[in-house]
Amino acid sequence: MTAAEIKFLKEAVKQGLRMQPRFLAEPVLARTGKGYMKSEGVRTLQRIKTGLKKSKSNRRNGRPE
Amino acid sequence: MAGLSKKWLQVVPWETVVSINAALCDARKALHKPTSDGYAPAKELWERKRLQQFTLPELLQICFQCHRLAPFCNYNGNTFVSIVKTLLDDALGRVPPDQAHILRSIAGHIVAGTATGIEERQLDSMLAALEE
Repeated sequence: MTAAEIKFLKEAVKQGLRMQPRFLAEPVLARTGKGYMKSEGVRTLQRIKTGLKKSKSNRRNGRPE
Repeated sequence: MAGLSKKWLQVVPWETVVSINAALCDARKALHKPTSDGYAPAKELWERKRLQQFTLPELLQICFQCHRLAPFCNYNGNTFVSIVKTLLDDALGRVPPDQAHILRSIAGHIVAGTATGIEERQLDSMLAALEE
């Protein structure tokens, strides 16, 4: 495996473990034709938008981020 | 945003797909085993596409197809959605974080097989805007 492949594997496993509660183990899509993935809601997006607003406001006021 | 057409799967050999699934199954004490009907066609599709250049929507379709083929007994959805989201983390580095989050989220829904028509149209329009 190359260094890039190893790096990708580590990141993908971390990503997968973080999302694991949103999935069912069994192959739902193959059996039913419709997949399953629990919604993560809007909290993450709200957090990102709040962070963007704060950093814009800090830039306007000349404060370091 | 020419980066949206590239050799997306170059850093993801099939062995990596298998290792990701093994780690996810291990975390939940679920059986990690290839399926008798889905493993071979999914592996063949993946290896055929791996060194080809294609667009982001094509990447999502390949991962969706592999998910639907169910190469593993458990956690197929999580395996392929994780792959797509990780690939996008890298590719969307220059996209504003809120837009990148929405793109990753829609991409995940498409691969998981839960995307609505509205989301698919939103993806198309966001990608068109990025191309400008």
